Amino acid sequence: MARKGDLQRKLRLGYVVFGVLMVIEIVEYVVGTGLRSGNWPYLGILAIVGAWPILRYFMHIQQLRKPKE
Amino acid sequence: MAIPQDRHVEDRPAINRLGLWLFILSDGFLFVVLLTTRFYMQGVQRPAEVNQPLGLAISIVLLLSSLFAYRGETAAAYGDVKRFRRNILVTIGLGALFLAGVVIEWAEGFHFFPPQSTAYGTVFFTLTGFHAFHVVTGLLALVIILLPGQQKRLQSGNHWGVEAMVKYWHFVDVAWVFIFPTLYLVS
Amino acid sequence: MSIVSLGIVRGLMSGALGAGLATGLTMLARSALGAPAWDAGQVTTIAVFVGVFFYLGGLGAFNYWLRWIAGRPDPEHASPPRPHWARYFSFDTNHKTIGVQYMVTSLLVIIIAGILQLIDRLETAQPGMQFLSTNTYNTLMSVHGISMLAAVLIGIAGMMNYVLPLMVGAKDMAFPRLNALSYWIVPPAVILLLVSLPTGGFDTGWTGYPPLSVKAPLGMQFMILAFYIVGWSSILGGVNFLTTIFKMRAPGMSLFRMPIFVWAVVATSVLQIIFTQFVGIAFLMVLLQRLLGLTYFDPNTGKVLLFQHLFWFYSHPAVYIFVLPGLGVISEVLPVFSRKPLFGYKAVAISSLGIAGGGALVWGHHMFAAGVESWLVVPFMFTTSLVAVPTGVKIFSWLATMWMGKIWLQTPMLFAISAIAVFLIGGITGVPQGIVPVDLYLTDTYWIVGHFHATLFGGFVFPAMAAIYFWFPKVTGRLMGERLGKLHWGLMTAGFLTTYMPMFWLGLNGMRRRVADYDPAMGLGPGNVVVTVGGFLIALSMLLFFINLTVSLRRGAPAPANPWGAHTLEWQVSSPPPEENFAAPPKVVGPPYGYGAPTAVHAVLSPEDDAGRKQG
Ligand code: HEM
Ligand SMILES: [Cu+2]
Repeated sequence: MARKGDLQRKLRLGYVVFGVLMVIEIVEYVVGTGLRSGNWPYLGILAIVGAWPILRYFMHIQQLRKPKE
Repeated sequence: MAIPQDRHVEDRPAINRLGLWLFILSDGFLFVVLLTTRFYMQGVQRPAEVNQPLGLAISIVLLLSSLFAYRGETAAAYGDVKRFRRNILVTIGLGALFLAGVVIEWAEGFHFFPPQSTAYGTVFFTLTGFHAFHVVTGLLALVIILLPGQQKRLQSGNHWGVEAMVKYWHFVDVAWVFIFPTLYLVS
Repeated sequence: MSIVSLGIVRGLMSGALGAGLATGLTMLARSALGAPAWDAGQVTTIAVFVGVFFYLGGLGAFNYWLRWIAGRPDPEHASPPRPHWARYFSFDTNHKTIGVQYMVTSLLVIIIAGILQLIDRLETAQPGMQFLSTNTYNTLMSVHGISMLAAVLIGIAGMMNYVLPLMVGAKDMAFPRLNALSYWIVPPAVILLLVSLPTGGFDTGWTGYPPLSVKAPLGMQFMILAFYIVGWSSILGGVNFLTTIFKMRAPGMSLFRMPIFVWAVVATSVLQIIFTQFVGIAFLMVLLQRLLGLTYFDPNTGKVLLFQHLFWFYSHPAVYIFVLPGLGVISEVLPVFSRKPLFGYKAVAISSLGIAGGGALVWGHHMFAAGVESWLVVPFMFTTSLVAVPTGVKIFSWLATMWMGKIWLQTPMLFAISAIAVFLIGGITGVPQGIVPVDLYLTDTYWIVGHFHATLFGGFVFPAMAAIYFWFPKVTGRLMGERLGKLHWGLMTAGFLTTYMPMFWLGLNGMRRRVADYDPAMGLGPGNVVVTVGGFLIALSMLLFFINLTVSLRRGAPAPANPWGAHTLEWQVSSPPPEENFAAPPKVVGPPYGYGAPTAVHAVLSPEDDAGRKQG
C-alpha cells in the first residue's frame, strides 16, 4: 500500500485541476454571453482546453501508454 | 484433472483499461454525431429563451461531482475505504442535483422551443436527453460500487471496479463540456 | 436433460414474458396519462427493449456480472454443460463456441434472406405483375437487403471469433463474457427482422431513407430496432477484438509478424467502433421522429439530407467492414496453397488500414443524385477514385503470390481464386460510378446492384466459403468432402456470373432497381430471365454446400492437426483445439508465411520444441 503523504498530494492536485476547470468555464461563459456573434471558434478552443485536464488528470489517459503512473 | 488457472501471463488491469477506453471512444462518437447534427441542422442559431445561467450552474455542479469522483477513486486506490465512500456519496448527490437542473430546463424548453415544432428544440432535447441517459447509467454505476459486496474486493486491494465506473463518470462530464457551449453559448 | 434447462429456451420464455409485461405496463401508463392505451409504435418499442433485457436475463447473460456486483467469485469460464452440443445453445464464453454460433446464425439468415429474394426474382423474371403485389415485392426486397447485411456482419464476427485468438496465440478473447453477450443479442435481432414481415413490412429498401421511412408501416420500426441491436453487437465485438490484438499476443509476435487476417481485423474493428454510432443515431432519429414527432427530417424545420449523410458516413466504411475480413482470409489461403510467402506483406498489412482510412472520406458518392451542395460533389469524385488504390495493392499482391507458386487446387484455394476475380469485377465497376456524370446515368439501376453484389460476393461470400472449407477440419476435427466441395465451387461461380453479369447490361439499358415491374417494350425480359435462372443456380450450389457440411460433419475422414501444412498458430494445435487453445503461451519466432523455405517456422509451442529446433 502506498504512503499516506502521496494520497494527500493527489487529493490536493484534484483541487488545482478543478480550479483550472472553473476558470475555463467562467471564461467560456463570459465569452459566450459577451460576444454576441461569431463566438464559436473561441468556444470550441475553450471546450477542448477544458476537456484536456479531465482526460489527463481525472481519467489518467496517459496510463494507456505508461501503466504505472 | 483440474485446469490450472491463468497459465497465460496477462496484464488484467491493462487489458481492462484498454477495453474501457475503446468503449468510451465509441460512445464519444455518439456525442460527436449529435453535436455535428446540431450545427448541420441549425448552424449557430439559438433562441433567446435558453436559460444560460442555469446552464452554467449545472455545468459547475457536474464539474464539482467529477472532483469528488476523483477524490473517491484516489482514496480507493490508497485503500482508504471510508474516504472513498464519503466522496462517492457526494458525487452521487451532485449527479442527482444535475438531473434536477435538467428537469427544470426541459420544462422551460417544452414551453419556449417545443421539440415537435422547432429544429432547436429537436437538437436540444436529443442532446440533453442522450446525455441525461448517460448520467443516469453513471449514477447506477456509482451506486453499484458502493454496495457492500464491493467493499471486500476493495479491501483486498483490487479497485478496478471503482476505477472503471469513475472513468465513465468523468467521460459523461467531458461530453457535457462540449454540449454546454454548443447548446447554451454559441451564437 | 430437459429442454427447459437450455439457455436459449429459458431466454426466449423470459423474453416473451418481459415483452408481455412491458406491453401491459405501457398501456396502463398511457391510459393513466389520459392517452389512448394502444399506440402500436410506442408500445412495441418499449416491449422490444424490455423483452431483450428479460431474454438476456433468462439466458443467464447477467449472472457473471451479478455475481461480480455481489462481490462473489466470478470465474470467466463455467464448466461446459453436458451433453456437448448443449453449450451451443447456452451462454458459453469460449470464443470457439461463439465463433461457431455466429457462423451458423449467419448461414441461417443467409438462407432466409436468399429465399425472400428468390421469390422476388420469380416476379421480375417477366414484365407485368405476376403473383406479388408491389408492396409485397418492395418489402421482400428490403428485408432481403438488410438481412443479408446483418448476415455479413454476423458472419465476419464468426470467422474473427473462431480464428483470431488462436492466430495471436491467446487462450481466449480479452473479454469472454462481453463476447458471449455480443453474440446473444443477435438472435433477437434476427427475430425482429422476421417480425417486420407480418407487421406491414417496409418499402424503403435497406437504406431506409426518410421521409419514406418515417411514414412506412410498423415493420420499419422492427427493422430499425433489429439493426440497432446488431450495431451494438458489432461495436462491442470491435472493442473486444482490438483489446485482444493489442494486449494478448503471444510473446514474440511483433506487429509485423501478425498474420494478415489479424491486420484485417484491426482495420475492421476500428471502423466498427467508430462508424457504427453514426448509423445507430441516424436510425434512432427516424425512430424518435416516428414515435415522438421530433423534427429531424421534416422538410420545413429539419434537414432531409441529414439522414443520408449520417447513413452513408457509416455505410460506406461499412462496406469495408463487410469485406476486409474476407480479403484477410484470401491473404491467408493463397500462400498456403501456393506454397509461397505472401508477396509484399507489409504493403498488404498497411493497405488494410489505408482502405479503412480512405473509406471514411468518400460517403458523398452515394448522394450525387440526392441534391447535395454542388461544391461537395467534385471532392467526393476525387476521393472515390483514390480508394481504389489500396484495394489494388491487395489484388497485385495476391497475383504475385500465386505467380510461379506450386498451386494446389483444393476447394479453399478455388474459392479464394473466384473471390479475387469477382472482387475485381466489383472494384472496376465501382470506378465509373464514382465519376459524377456517369453516375447520374447509372445510379439506381441494376448496374449498381451488379456492382455491389460483385464486391460482396468477392469480399464476403466466396472468402467465407474459402474460410469454411479451410478451417472446417480445425473446427470439427473432420475433413470436408472435396468432390462435393469442388462441385459447389463450380456451380456457385457459374451461378454468380449468370446472375450478376447480365445486370450490368440491364442497368445500362435502363432497368431500374427496386421495381417490381418494367416496360415490356424495353426488351429487358430475356436478360431478367437469365438473372432469375442464375439466382436459382446459386441457391442450388448452397444446397450442395449444406449437404456437404452435414455429411462431412457426421462422416468426414478424421482430420490431422495440420491438413494443409500451414504455418500460422491455429494449425499448430490439435483439431479441434483444446478448451484453452494452448498448453503454454506459444513463442513466435518468425514471419507467418515462410512457405517454400524448408526450415522456416512461425511459432513454437513448447520449450522442447524450441530446443529441438535450435539443434536441428
Ligand atoms: C470494397 C468493396 C465494395 C463494396 C462492398 C461496395 C458496396 C457498395 C454498395 C452496397 C453500394 C450500393 C449502395 C446502395 O444501395 O445504393 C455501392 C455503391 C457505390 N459504390 Fe461501391 N462497393 C465497393 C467498392 C467500391 C469501389 C472500389 C468504388 C469506386 C472506386 C465504389 C464506388 C461506388 C459508388 C460510386 C457507388 C454509388 C453508386 C450509386 O448509388 O449511384 N465502390 N457500393
Ligand atoms: Cu460507397
